[in-house]
Amino acid sequence: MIQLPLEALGALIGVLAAIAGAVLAVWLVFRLLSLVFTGLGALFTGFGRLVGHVFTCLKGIVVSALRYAGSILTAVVFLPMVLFSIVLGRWSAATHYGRAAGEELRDAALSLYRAAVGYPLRLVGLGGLVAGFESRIPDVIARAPGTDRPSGGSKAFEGYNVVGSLPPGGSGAKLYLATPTDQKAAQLAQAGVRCPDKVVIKAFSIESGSTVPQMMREGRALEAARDLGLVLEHSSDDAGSFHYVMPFVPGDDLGQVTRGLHAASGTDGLNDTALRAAVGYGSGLLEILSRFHRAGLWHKDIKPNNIIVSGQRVELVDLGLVTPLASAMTLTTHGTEYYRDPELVRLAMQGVKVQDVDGVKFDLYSAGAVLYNLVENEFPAHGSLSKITRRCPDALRWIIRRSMADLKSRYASAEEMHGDLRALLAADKPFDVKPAQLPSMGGAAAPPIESFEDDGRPELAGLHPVPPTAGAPIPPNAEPAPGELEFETRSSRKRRDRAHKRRQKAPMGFMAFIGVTLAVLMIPGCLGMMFLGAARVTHGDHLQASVISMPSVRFNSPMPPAPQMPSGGSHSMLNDFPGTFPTPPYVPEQLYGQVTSAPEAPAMPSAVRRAMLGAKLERVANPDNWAGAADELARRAEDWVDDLDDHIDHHVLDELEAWTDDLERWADEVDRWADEFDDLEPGEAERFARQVTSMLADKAQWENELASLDARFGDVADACELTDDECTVDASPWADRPTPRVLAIAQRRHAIPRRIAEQMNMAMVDELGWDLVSEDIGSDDPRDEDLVVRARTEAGFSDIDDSEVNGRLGQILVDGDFDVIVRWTWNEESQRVRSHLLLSNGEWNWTSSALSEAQQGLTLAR
Amino acid sequence: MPQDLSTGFIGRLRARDPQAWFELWEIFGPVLRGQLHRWGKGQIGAETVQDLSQETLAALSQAIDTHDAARGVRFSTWLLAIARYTLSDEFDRRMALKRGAGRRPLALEEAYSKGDENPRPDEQYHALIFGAKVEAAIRMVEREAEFMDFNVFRMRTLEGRTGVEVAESMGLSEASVSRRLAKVRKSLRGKLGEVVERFSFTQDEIEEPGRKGLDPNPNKASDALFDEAVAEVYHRYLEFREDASAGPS
Repeated sequence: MIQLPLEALGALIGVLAAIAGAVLAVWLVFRLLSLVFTGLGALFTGFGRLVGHVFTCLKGIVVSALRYAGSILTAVVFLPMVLFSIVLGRWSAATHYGRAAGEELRDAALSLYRAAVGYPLRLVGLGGLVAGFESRIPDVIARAPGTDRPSGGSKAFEGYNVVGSLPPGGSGAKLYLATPTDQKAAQLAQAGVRCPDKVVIKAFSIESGSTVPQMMREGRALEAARDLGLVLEHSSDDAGSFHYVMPFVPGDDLGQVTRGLHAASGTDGLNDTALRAAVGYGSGLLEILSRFHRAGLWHKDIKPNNIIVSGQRVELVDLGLVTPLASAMTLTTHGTEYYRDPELVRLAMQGVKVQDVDGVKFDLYSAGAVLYNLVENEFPAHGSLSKITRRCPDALRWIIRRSMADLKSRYASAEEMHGDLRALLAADKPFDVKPAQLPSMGGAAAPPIESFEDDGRPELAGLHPVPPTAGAPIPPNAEPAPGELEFETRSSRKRRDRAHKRRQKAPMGFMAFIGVTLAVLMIPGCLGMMFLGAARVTHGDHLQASVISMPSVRFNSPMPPAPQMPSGGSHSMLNDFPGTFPTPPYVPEQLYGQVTSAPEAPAMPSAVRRAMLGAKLERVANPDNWAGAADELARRAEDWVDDLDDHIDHHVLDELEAWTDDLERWADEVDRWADEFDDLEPGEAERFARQVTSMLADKAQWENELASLDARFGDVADACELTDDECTVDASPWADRPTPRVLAIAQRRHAIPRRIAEQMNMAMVDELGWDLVSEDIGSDDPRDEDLVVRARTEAGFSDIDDSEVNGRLGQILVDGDFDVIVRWTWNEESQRVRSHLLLSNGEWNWTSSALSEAQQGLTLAR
Repeated sequence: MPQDLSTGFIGRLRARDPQAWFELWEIFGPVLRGQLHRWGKGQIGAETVQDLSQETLAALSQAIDTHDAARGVRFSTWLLAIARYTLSDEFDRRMALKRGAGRRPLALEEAYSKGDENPRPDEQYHALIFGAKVEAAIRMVEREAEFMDFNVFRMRTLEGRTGVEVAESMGLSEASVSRRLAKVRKSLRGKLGEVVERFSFTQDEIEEPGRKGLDPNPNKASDALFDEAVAEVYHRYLEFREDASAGPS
C-alpha cells in the first residue's frame, strides 16, 4: 500500500478544490451571461415588437391619409365629368362617372376612419375599444329583422299578417315574420295543430329569382316535416309562387351562442360550465336528429347557423335541403362546406342515388362538425383531420373524431352518438371519462334523459331541451387538470391568437359608416357628387335576377283526390290483345331532356347561359361591353339552335314518323280485329280506338312542340334587351307549358315501367280525364283515392308520397336541362360577375368551378 | 419513375376524368388559393381568390393537352405559372376598369401560354406542395385504417402524446398501442409512396420524401424520425391552410 505524505494529500485536495472552484466560477459566469443575454434578448424582442407595432400603425395612418387625399382628389376630378355628361345628356356616362365618384368617396371615408380612429387607437393599445364597433355591431345589424313586406303587402299570405322579415339564407327565398290571424289559429287548432304566436313564412317565387327545381327540392319533404310539427302548412299557386309556414323560434343561433361561451371562458377554451352547456346543445341536436332519421328524413344542412338556442332548448331550422332517406333521386352536393362530409361530394359526383347511401351518417358528420365548432369556436377547416387545440375532454374528442371519421368507422346512428354524449354529460368529471368508457366502446350507458315534451305540442322534432343539470355539477371556473392542454403548443396558441386578432379586424361596412360621418363633417361639398353617384347604382349582390328575367311557370302541388276508374277497364283488354303495342320514339338522352323541358321556363335561361358561358360574358361586365357581349351571345345561341335543328331533323322527327306508321298500322289492326270478333264486349273496340287516337294526338302534340322549337330558340337574339348596364332576356315565350304534361312525360320516361305507364296514362288520361301525377284530376269522389293507391301500387309508386313524385320531376328537369349549370353572382370587390358552373357533358370540360360549385353546394351535381 | 403521361395522372386529366380533376382540386386547391392569397395580399379578398383559383384550373383544363413534362419543369411549377398569369390578368382588368376604358383584358388562352417566363416558385411553395401530398396520404390512410388504429396514430404522432397516455385513454396496453402505430405507419409509408408517385413528374420530386426525412425504405431506427417528419410537415401545412383559409361562405 502506498503511503501518501500528508502534505501531498493536502496539496491534492487543494488542487481539486481550486479546479472545482474554477468550474463553479465559470458555470456561474456562463449562467450569469446566459441570464443577461436572455434578458437582453427579451428586451430587444419586446422593443422590436413595440417598434414594429408603432411602425405598422404609423405606416397605416400615413398610407390611409394618403389614400384619403388621393380618393378625394379623384372624386373631385370625376365631378366635372359627371356635370359635363349631364349637360350633354349622356345619362349613361353620367351614371358611370357618378358611380365611380361614389366609390372614391366610400374609399375616402374608409381611409379617413382608419387614419383618424382605427390606427391611432391601435397605436396606443386601445384597439379593443373599436373591436365592438367594427365587428360585433355590424354583425348584429346585419342579422336584425328587417321591415320588408312581400309584394302583396302585409296580407300577402292568407291567414297571416306579415310584421317583418328575416335575413335570407342561401336558398334565395324570402323569410317573413308573421302573426296568424284568429281565424287561421282556429283553423289550425281544428286540424290539431298548435298555432304559435308568431310564425316564419318562407316564400319562393319565380319572379324573385327562385327556380322550379329549387322549389321542388324545398317542397319534397314538407309533408313529412308537417307530420313532425316542423311545418304548419304549405301552399303554392299557378303564378309560380310557393311558401310554407313554420313556427318562429326566438333565440340566437348556435354560432352566436358558441362565440358567447368562448368569450366568457377565455382563450384556452370552454370552462367547465360552458363545456357542459356545449355538450348539452350537442345532445339536444342528436336527439332531434334521431327523430328526423326515425321519420325517414335527412336534414342535410346541419350547421351552427341552423340551430337555434331558445332558452333551454335547441331547435333545428331550415328545411331547405331535407331529403327522404329512401329517395330515388340522385344525390346532390347541397350543404355547407366544412359541415358537409367531403365523401358526400365524391359520391354525388359519381351520380349515386340517395337511397344507395346512408344519409344518417352524413348528418352525423355534420353533428360532429358542430361539436367541433362548439369546442374550438372555429369551423373544422381540415375535415376529419382538423386539430382540436382547445380545452376538451378526451371522450369528447373521441366523439367528434368518430362522428367525422370515414363512413365505415362512423357512428351507425344518432342514438349511438347521443348515448356517448349523454354518458359524458352524466359524468361528474368529464375530463376523467376515457373514450374506452363510452357506451359505444362497451362502457355503461347513461341513464335516459327525462322527456320534456310537456308543452302540449305534438312530437315537435325541432324542440328539445338542453339538459343542463343532467349529472352532478362541476365547480365553476375549475382549472383543467395537468396534461389536459399538453398538446397546446406555443405555436398553436400563437396561431389561435393571430386568428383571434384577424377576427377583430375592422369590417368595411361599419368603418365606412363612421368614416362617412367624418367625411360629411369635413367635406360637405362632396355629398352632391355622392348623390349623383348613388343615383343609379344598379349592381346588386346577385346579378342573376337582373340578367335573366324568368317567366312564370306553374308549380305542381301534391296531387288532389282522383276520380274512380270504371270497372272493366281496358287493362284486361290490353293484356288479351294479340298485337304488338308500339313503343314511343327513341330520343337521344341529352336531346330528350332538352325537348322535354324546352318549353318550360328553365330551358331558355339554360340556352342563354350556355351561350353566355361560351361568350365569356362574365369577363366583360363593364357596361360598355354589354352590347358586344350580347351580339356574341346571340351568335352562339343561334349556333346552338342550328345544332338542335339537326338533332330534331335527323333523330326525333324520323323516329316520330316511324312511330306514326306503327300506330296507324296498329289502329287498322284493331279495326280488323273488332270486325272479326263480334263477341267482343260492346265498347271495347272503341276504347282501343280511343287509345290509338290518344296516342296519335300525343304524337301530334310532340310534332307541334318539336316544330316550334326552332322558332322559339330562334327568337333568342330578339329576346335580348340591352340597356346601358345590363342585358335582360325576356323568356316569357317559354312560359306556356303546363307542368302536368311534363310530369306525364317524366312518368313515362323515368318513373315507372313503360308498359304500365302507357296503360295507366292512356286509360286514366283518356277515359277518365286525369293523369297519374296531374293536379287536374277533376273529381271529388272519395273512392278515387283508392284508385290512386291501386294505380300507384301497380306503378311502383306505393312507397313514396306526392312530394317525392314532384322531387323526381325536379331531378328529371335537372338531368335533362341543367347539364350545364351556372349561377351568377356579382362580386362587389372585383366588380365582375362570378360564374359558378358545373359542366358534365362531352362538349364542355370539367373545371374547377364545377368542383368548387359542388363543394359549396350551390347547384346540383350530376 | 416519373409519371407516364399517357396513362398517369396527367393522362387522366387530359382524358377529362372527373375524379382526377377532383383529386387535383382537393389536394392542391388549398395551396393554389394560399399562393394567390400571398401574391394578392391586401388587394384581393377571399372571394376573389376563390374565383381566381377556379379560373386557374379552368385555364389548366384548356392547356393540359400541351403540357410537356420532358422539359423538366414540375407540374406544380407550371400550375403556379398559370395562376400567376390569372392573377395578372385580374389586375390588368381592374386597371382597365378603373381607367374607364373598358379595355378587354388579355385573353386567358394567351396569358397562360407565356407562363414559362414567370418568376420561379419559392421554397415555401414547394414545401406546401409536398405538405399537400403528405396530407393526401394521411387522408388515404384514414379512410382505409381501422378507426382505433388511426386514432392511436393521430394521438401519438400528430398530437404528440406519449404511448402511456394513449394506452390509458384508449383502454389499450402499451404494446397494443405500439403495434397499432406500427401498422398505420407502414400503411402511411405505402400511401405516401403512391401519392408521391401519382403527383410527381420529375425525378427531383420523386426523391423529395427521402430528403425530408420520410424515408421510403424504413428501418427500426428511422421510425421515430419518420413520425417526427410526418408531424412536422403536416403541422406546417395545416398552419398554412389555417392562415389562408377563407372560412365557409
